[in-house]
Order: sequence, then C-alpha cells, then structure tokens
Amino acid sequence: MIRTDGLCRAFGGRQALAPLSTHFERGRVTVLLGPSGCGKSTLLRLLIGLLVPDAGSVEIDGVTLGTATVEAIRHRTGYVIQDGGLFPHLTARDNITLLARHLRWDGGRIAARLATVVELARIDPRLLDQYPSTLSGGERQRVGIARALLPDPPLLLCDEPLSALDPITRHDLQRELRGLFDALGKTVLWVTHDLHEAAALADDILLMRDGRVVQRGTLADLVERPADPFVTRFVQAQHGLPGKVAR
Amino acid sequence: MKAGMLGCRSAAGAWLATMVLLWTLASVSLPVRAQDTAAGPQRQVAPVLVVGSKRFTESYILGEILRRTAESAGEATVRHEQGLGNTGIVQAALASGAIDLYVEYTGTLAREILRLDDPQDATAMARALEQRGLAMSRPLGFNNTYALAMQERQADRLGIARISDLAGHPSLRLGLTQEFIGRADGWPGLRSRYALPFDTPRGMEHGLKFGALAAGQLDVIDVYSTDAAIARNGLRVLQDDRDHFPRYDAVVLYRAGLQGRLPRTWAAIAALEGRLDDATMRALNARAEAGGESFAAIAEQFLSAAARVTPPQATGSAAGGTAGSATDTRPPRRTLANALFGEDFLRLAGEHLVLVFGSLLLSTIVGVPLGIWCAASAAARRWVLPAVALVQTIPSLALLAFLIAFYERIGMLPALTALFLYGLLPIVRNTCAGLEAIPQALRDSALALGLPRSARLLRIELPLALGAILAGVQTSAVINVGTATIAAFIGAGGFGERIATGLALNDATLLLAGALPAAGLALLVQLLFSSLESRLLAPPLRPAAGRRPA
Repeated sequence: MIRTDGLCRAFGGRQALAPLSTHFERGRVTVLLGPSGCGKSTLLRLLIGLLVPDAGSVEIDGVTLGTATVEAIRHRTGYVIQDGGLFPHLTARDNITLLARHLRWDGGRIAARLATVVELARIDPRLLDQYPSTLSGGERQRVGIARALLPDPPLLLCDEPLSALDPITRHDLQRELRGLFDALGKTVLWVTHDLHEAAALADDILLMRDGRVVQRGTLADLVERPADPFVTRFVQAQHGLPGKVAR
Repeated sequence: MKAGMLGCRSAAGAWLATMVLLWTLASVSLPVRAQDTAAGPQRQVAPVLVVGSKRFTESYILGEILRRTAESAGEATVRHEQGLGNTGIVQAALASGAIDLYVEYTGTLAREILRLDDPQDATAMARALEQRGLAMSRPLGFNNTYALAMQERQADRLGIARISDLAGHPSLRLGLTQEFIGRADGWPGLRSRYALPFDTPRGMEHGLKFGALAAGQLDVIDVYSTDAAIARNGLRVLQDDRDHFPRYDAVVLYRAGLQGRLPRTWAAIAALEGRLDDATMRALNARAEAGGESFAAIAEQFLSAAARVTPPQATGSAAGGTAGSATDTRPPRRTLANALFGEDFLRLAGEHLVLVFGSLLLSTIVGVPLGIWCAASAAARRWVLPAVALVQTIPSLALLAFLIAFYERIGMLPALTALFLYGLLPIVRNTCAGLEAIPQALRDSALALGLPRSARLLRIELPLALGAILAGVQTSAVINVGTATIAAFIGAGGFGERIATGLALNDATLLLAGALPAAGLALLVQLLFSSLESRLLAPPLRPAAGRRPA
C-alpha cells in the first residue's frame, strides 16, 4: 500500500502538486488522469524519488521514502515510461537484465527470470539481441515492461507508456496489460491523459487539475456524478466515448 | 550474464587495454629519458657532462665542438642537448643543472641575463655570475654582435650605410626575431638610441627572415655578424654608428665547480679560448648552411684541423668519449626522401609517439574525471572549465620555461607536462558536454531502476557519452601531434627536432622532413580513433549508424 501525507512540490513558484494526502490500495490499478501539467507525472516521480518533495512524505508498504530507503524501494518498483525508457547502447536483453546483472544474480537465475518476463510481455525471443533503435514502438514498450517486471516488483509506476503508439497496437497492449496486472496481482499507478485508456485499465481513477485531485472514483462516477463542471468538460472532450462505458 | 555483459565489458576492456599499452609505452621510455636528464655532480659512477646549445646554426656547431672537446678528455660521458628554445630556456636549463655548460655571448650575458648597467664591466659580470653559481671562460675569439642588415642593392639605392640613416626612411619594413624585439640590448634600446621612427615590428623566426628579405617582403632584418647568410644573400650590414650594441664575445658559460669536478675536461675546453676568430666562425656557419655536412662533422673537422696547428691539451682515451654522444639531428641535405627517412627517423618517431600518447594518456586519466565532476556540479563547471581553458592560452615557450624552472630539468618531463596541460580542455569539455547531453528520460530510467551512482556512471552514462569523450580525446591527440613539435626546443626530441633545426638553418627540405611525418602522424591518429570508435561504441551509437539515440 502507498500512502502520501501532505506531499507537495512547486516548480518556479507554480504549484505542480498541491499538498496531497491519499493512499493507493494493494493489487489495484489506479489511473492518474488529467490534462498536461495537471501534476499527475509529478506525483508519480515523487513516489519513486525522482523528485524531492517540498514538503510531505511517501510511505510504501510501511517504509518511508528517504535517501536511505530509496534504492530498496526502487528495486521493488517497476517504472515504465514512454518508449520504454530503453538505453540505446544496450540490446533488448541487456536492457531487461541490467538490474539483475548489477545485483549480481547468478546466470541461471537471470536466464530463468528473463524467459519468464519475455513470455509475460510477449516478446519474440529473436528480438532480444537487437538494439532499441531497430525495434518497433510496440516492441520497445514490451521490452520496457519486461525490464520493469524483472525483479518481480509488487508495484508498477507507468508514466504514459503507450502514448506514442499507433491506435491498434495501443488498444491491444491496454487489454493485454490489464490481463497481466490482474494475473500478477500488481499494484499499478498509471498516468495518462486519455479517458479511453483509463476506461480500459482502471479500477480507480484520480482526475487531476492544476496540481489538485478534482475527483476520485470509477469511470461511471466521473460520467454520472461529476464533481464539478471541469470533470464534465474533460469527459465530454474525449468525444466518441460510448455512454455506457462503466465497467 | 556472459552474453549480456559482453557489449559493455568488451568495450571497457578494449579501452583499458589501450590505456595500459600507452602507459607501458610511456613508462618504458620515460625513465630512460629522465635518467638521462638527471645529469649532475651527484652521479659518481660515470660522471655525465651535458652540453647545451640554442636554436641557431652557430650554437649547434659550438655545442658540437664543446661536446667533442669534452669527450676527448675521456673523463666523462658527454651529451649534447641541442637546439634548446631560446636564451630563457637555456638559462633555466643551466640554472637547474639540466645542462652544465653552453656557449653564450658577453653582450647577451650582461644586458639580458645579468641585467648589468655597464656591459663592459668585467668585474661586475664575474661577481654577478658568482652569485648565480655560474662562471665563464675567457672569450673563444669571435665577436658575434647583433647588427641590422639590408639587401645591398636597396641600401645602395636609398643611400643607407649606417643605422642612423634608417631614421629618414620610416616606410621601411622591419623583420626582427622575437628575442631581439624583447631584449634590453635589442630593439627597445636600439630604437631609443637612434630615435628610429618605426613601430615595434613583426617578430619572425631567425631562419625565415632571409627568405622574406630576398622575396622583398621585408627591408631590414636583424642578423648575427657571423651569419653565413650575410655573404650568401648579398646583404649590407649597417654600421652601428652610435655604438648601441655591446661586444658579443663568445664565452663558455658553465656551472661553477666544473673545473674541480672534471679538471681534465675543463682543461680541454679552456684550450679553445681564443681559437675561433670571426672568419673561422663565419666559415663554419657557411659550411653548415650550405648543407650536406652534419654539425658533428663540421665540429670534428675544425677540431682536427686545429689539432694540427696546436697539440691537443688533453689526450684522453677515446673510450669514455663516444658513450653518450648525441646523435646529430641533421641528415645530409640531399633529397627529401633521404631527409625524411634518415637514420634518426625511428628515434624521432618513437619520441614523438611517446610525447603524444604519453601526454594524451595523462590528459585522459585526469580530464575524464574532471569532466564527470563538471557535469555533476555547477560549481566545478564554473571553475574547472575556465581554468583548463586558461592553460590553453599560455604561450608554449613561456609554459615550457616555467616548467623547466619547476622541475629543474629539461627534456621529456616538462614537455610531457606541457602537452598534458594543453590536452586537457577538449577532453574535459567533451566529457562534460557528452554527459549533459544524455536525455532526462534515460537518467530517470537509470535512477528508477535503483542503480547507485557508480553503476549509473559506468553502465549508462559513460557508455552513452563515450562518443563525445572519444571525440575530445581525438581532438587532444591531433592538437598534441602538432604541439609536440615544440618539445624539441627543450630537448625532448620528436619530429620537432628537424623543424627546429630546419628553421635554424633555413633549410626547407629538413623543415618538410619534420613537418610531413608530423602531419602523417596526425592522419594516423585520426584513423586510430575512427577504428576505436567502431570498436568501443555500441553499434547504435557509432557515427556511421546514422541513427542517434532519442
């Protein structure tokens, strides 16, 4: 379980995240939804110590995030960003196994775990010796997910990982990943500005604006019981949304 | 892990191997040179005497004459550090004990080195020398004074015979050596004594002035009165009608105590006093500049001819004589091919390589960490980058003179240090820029994986910045190949030896024979780094791949 207490951060006088005290349940997929600059990525980056908060604290599974604990917390957290955040000088295989090699796992353990995550992320093993620049966008994303899954972390933080993909690949991956998260029982925080994606993935949605949480609930809550006019506008702006999306 | 690590490990391995190779190269040749240069009274087993000379024909010849004479005493191993940059560098070498003696001129000594008010006051000079732990012999015979010279025809046409005549011709173009322009007994004193209407003229290399004068690009140049080029080029030496120039009697300047340490050697050298008159010296210079004969051969002939007139003072066995003989830098002047691949080619190439790659290795070892520090810290960036850039602006001869005083020796050590300092900037700057250019998303990914600082640096950041770092090292290497030619001015060898000698002799063939291999070496360095790039960089990062990481 993740708990934040008064967590906030400003950039150059602009409040990117207003003090936020909330929690995220184990085993659930929570989508942080909102327009650009609403603070959703800032929140995600604060949770894994990529940003230092101005005030407030983060507690993950009972451990408070701090300089002494951040590395251990990161080892128990998968982080996936757009295009997978792959290192261009490493092959797909080396990208996936980088952490394991750093932690000096033995070869057998690495090979076994590699086989598992490659299968989970549905990567063609023939692609493993290729460099990211020769993979397609979807393939790169799968490698990024496999890399995040390698240490079998209970928590996955995903920052718009599918934004750069074409609609079909994106649709397939959304369904596939939802199935994967359910099967593995991962706690997932997923950042997107796309209501369709939230609909496909979320157990729970945090709609954010200007560094604040505007409404928290299911998609049906947002559609049927909008907390304020912004929620209605945000939902309506994502046109083509069928009326009965609620899961 | 095997397959996985390969990309990273083999690259790092190759890099390491290259570095170890270079280090070995440097360390094998360094101690040898260092030991050579560590000549001094403290070495008792085989006393070593080091003769110095400056970078012009006459000084080379006199250096060889001193070397041969000292060898003939059979008392010490004698070496000749030839063609040291200028008076400042030779003085620093003498003061530090890197050389024991060389031929200096009384006028230079009084005005420039000791800064005496009256250059003719012999007692004042002796006292000033004693304070510095130095002494000088009686004059060797000739007076090689500074003088101004013009083309005979032009001087005739303008009616100029004396320096004071120049005052009426303010449009004349002067070309003087840098040393002459800067010396108290040179241009500043001359201009005020004669109230000459010229701005401070352009400084030129001594050997190049005669060509510029003949080509009509200069009208008046400074010469040494024993310059062979005066007669060869049909020059008129202007009369010093207001007695500005003091006498420049050639004397042997040496570290005090030499007589006591090597009495027979000193006796042999002292026997040279009064034996070289103006005509003799001019003839020896002319022979050297006519080409075809090495300085050593000319010195040898002079000494054996002299020996026929006067019996030698000391007839020591030849055994001790040949051991430390310096190889002469001058191949016979025949064709460029002969000059290029003369017998000194391998030695010069070896020295040049040690200079370039030894200093490059040091620059890399120091520069890469400095660059990493700069990339990590704004404060470091604010101080380190300007500091290494500042080093770049120090003129090479000034830096060398300073380093000679600092190390108290000439040769490889100060030369390597200077090249090391000059090589820092491209490496530090490129390392820093390469690291800063890594996209934030990749830094975040590396952080989010939970990799500590060292692992991020070694596994992610340095491999990603390696292309930029290699480019910086390459820039340093190419600059160093060129800059290494100045090492010859302080006796560190390399192809600069041919360039320095070629300049001193106005010998274009020899100049080319030094410049061409240096240029070839620069090309080789380029090739070496292209191949390093394709070996060390991960395939997607190679320039040829055409596709840069996002």
